[in-house]
Amino acid sequence: MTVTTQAVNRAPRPSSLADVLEVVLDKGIVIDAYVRVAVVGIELLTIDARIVIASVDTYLRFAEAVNRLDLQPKEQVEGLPGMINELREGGAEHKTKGALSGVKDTAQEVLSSVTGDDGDDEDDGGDAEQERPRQRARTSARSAPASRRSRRSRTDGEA
Amino acid sequence: MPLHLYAVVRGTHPLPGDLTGVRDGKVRLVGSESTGLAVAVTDVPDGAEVTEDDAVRHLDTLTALLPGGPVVPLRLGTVAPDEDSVRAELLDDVDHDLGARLDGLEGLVEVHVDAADDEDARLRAILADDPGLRAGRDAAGSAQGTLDQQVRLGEMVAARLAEHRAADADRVLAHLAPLTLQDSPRGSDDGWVLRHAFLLRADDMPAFDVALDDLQHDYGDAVAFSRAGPLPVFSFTVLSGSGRSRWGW
Repeated sequence: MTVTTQAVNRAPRPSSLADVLEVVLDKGIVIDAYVRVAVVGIELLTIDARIVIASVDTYLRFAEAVNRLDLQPKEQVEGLPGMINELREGGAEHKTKGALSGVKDTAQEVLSSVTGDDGDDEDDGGDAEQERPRQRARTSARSAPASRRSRRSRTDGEA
Repeated sequence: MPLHLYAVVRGTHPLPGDLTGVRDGKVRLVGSESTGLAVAVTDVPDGAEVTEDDAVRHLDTLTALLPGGPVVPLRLGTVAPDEDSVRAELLDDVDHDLGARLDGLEGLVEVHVDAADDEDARLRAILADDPGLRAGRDAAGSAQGTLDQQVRLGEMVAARLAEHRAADADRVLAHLAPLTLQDSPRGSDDGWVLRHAFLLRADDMPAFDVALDDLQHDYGDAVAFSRAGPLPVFSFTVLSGSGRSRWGW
């Protein structure tokens, strides 16, 4: 039995610049005459990248993600508690085929999969191929959810 | 020389040795005899603009001041022409109610918690829970599946994802509530289980960390928790009178 021990990531302050800006930019008491409005070098992109837009692109990404899921070993699992138990009991290998490998697909690729251009390798496309992006995504989610999030929304933007 | 202002503190606030702020300037206190208040400042060049690096150093300085007592942060980019104007327009201006603000913040800190789920595992759970969704998936994924069906499927998935995350967020908040005085979402939590700021007593930090560990243990790989802090209180309005009675200590 494999028990995953994942520690809470603790930091004295937010680790990413975007999170630091979120804390200090609009907070604190204001002495009107003294505040300089302009903050040099802070690109709007830093802020914009944090907005996940509920759009057709997003929906297509989710659709692609669930289309890729291999449900066979999971049909009996009921809800999140059951899922957690399964993870603790060594079900980690089931998770390596992943929805997150779909994250990087552009809408164009989704479209081509809808039209059948690359529809063959979805379920049996090789664990090794899907395992690598899966693990990268997990690592970044653990250490820096913000970067995971901005990468996700950048992907949306490219689509 | 102009002064970059960080925070209002009590005149007796101890400064950590060699504390430096933006542009590596040495942090010092400018105090007011009449009010017993002080503001932490560094010298900055005339006309200097505020940079991203300044933002990081600003927050680092505020955080470094926190163990010494209550800290009322000033808005990033607050630059005063000289010490006399700091006293006249900030410390001695009763309209700012600084003494009461400091008293209200005594012993309090702010902590930020992010909870990010494993989207893959989450999608599996959602599909396992919902036969309608599986049917939608089968229709959209079949050879005859149209783009419309894909979009509808994705929309359904997004909605269920949001519901599941909201349910988990409620569980997390309920678990942490006994240790916190207030909580507040930090911007959009779209794509997250939860992104929250919590107001709590500094003395409760160890117990808060244990509670977070418990949550992390319960969720295992399904949700990754991270927390930043303790930070000065930014996200909550705390004044001594109403604050004390509202929280009952």
